Amino acid sequence: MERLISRGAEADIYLGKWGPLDTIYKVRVKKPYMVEDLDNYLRKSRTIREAKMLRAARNYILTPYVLYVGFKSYTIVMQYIDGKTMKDLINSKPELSYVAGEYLAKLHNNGIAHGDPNTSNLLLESKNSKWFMIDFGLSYYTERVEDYAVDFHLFKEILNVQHSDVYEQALKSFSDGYFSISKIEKDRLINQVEEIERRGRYSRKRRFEF
Amino acid sequence: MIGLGIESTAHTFGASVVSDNGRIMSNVKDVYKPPEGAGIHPREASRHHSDVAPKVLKDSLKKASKTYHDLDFIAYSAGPGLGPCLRVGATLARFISAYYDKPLIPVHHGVGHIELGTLLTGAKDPLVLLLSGGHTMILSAHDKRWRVFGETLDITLGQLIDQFGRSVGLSSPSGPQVEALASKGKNFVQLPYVVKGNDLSFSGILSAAKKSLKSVSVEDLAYSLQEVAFSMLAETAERALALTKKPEIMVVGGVAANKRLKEILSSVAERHGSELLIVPAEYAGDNGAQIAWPGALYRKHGYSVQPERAFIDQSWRIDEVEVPWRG
Repeated sequence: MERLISRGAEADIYLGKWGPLDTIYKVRVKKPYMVEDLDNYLRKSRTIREAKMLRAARNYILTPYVLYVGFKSYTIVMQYIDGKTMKDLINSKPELSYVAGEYLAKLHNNGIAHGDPNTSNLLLESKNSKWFMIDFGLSYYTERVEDYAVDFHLFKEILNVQHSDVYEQALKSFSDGYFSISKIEKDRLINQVEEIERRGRYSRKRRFEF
Repeated sequence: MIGLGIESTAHTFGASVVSDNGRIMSNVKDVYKPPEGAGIHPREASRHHSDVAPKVLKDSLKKASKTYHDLDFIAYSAGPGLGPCLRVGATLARFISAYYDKPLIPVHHGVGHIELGTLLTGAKDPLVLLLSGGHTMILSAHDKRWRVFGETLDITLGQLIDQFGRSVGLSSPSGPQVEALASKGKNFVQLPYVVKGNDLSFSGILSAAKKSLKSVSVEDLAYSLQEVAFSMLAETAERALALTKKPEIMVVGGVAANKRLKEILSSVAERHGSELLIVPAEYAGDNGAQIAWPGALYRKHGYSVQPERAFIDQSWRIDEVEVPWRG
């Protein structure tokens, strides 16, 4: 293990070597504030889940190769993707979110929910200009439209909060990309997304006009 | 410039006089207490508000040594909240505004918690955890709006704690009592930990905790419930910090008073090199100053509404509210 390159919500990401290969070490570190039982349970289940779902998803989209899984050290060693995140590119090119829509729909068509789709979890590899999807720690198999709609809602939410300047266009491209592939009818999914958003504490109603 | 703020969203009726340089000249409140094991009855709460309003308003002005004539604006909590309760505050505010010919300003309750928090903690551009009875949200400001990073998909953290408290016979709001029970808990039992991206779901914890009441002690359940729910919140806060790299994390709303939550969040802040800012306990719960202070900010930007157009909105979403001072 070599250099810490980022500190995420649930894992530290190191850049290292695996033989001659550049690799990522994703280590789910102990949370000092968490009850030990809960901490161990989350680290273990998510390490297993991520390794499994990275492999499962690779049948349909590009994900990094998993080289090694350390169940006791809560570590996944995977292929390093040299490139930029969609987060860094989308503000000047909002139409890039089309790919995010396509990728998510491909997973959904095959019974997989990502669980945490956002613009930081899509990487454009510099060398071959190909998109990779990462961070499958919250991913799972499901056949429920509700779960696909949650994924859709989460990506929409991220566009709204992190890319508000290009929100309208980025959302349209994301939606276009999604429904170009999705097997679910557009009306059905959008209704479900709206239902989820209504279920939230306060739904959209009237706006005050000063 | 000084103004009056009236808060009547839920169980609290409050009135406060503030100046536009951020001095809280008075902050008086009277809180409706439902019977043990019961929640707020909106009609009973609104009756309470009507009964105490004259005294609270009078005391608030007296403490600030002001009369209605001295005021430069009247602000009221316009939502979200319980309709009958909101109407008491709005009706009074409309009347005072019309009778004394003062500009009238509707304020969003959640914006109130946040803006008063930044006034009192000195936060400049924080990642905000808004943890009141009606909100569990992670927000950051951008382009004149508080934008939602993540939120609960069902009940709020405050409701989870309160409803659990009520189910074991405590009186509402039961946060401090649940916290006291939790501090005596020793054995951790697993409850549903549900994080979806940056969003949270607490309803599964409530159902599971209620079901376990027969086999697990109340202390252990309160302890486990707090640990699971707070850890979920900490995880989403960590996600938001990792993505935004904000140097400050500010906690506002009634749940901010919980000591265990403070401990957890200071560990989160430390891990990400951010500073943790928590609204002082005295101002964590609902109060008039959270309405009066945004009122002053709106007034500085020339905002007001005509009394006949001063509505309430029980489900007013925070990300629809224009906050012109957050450019």
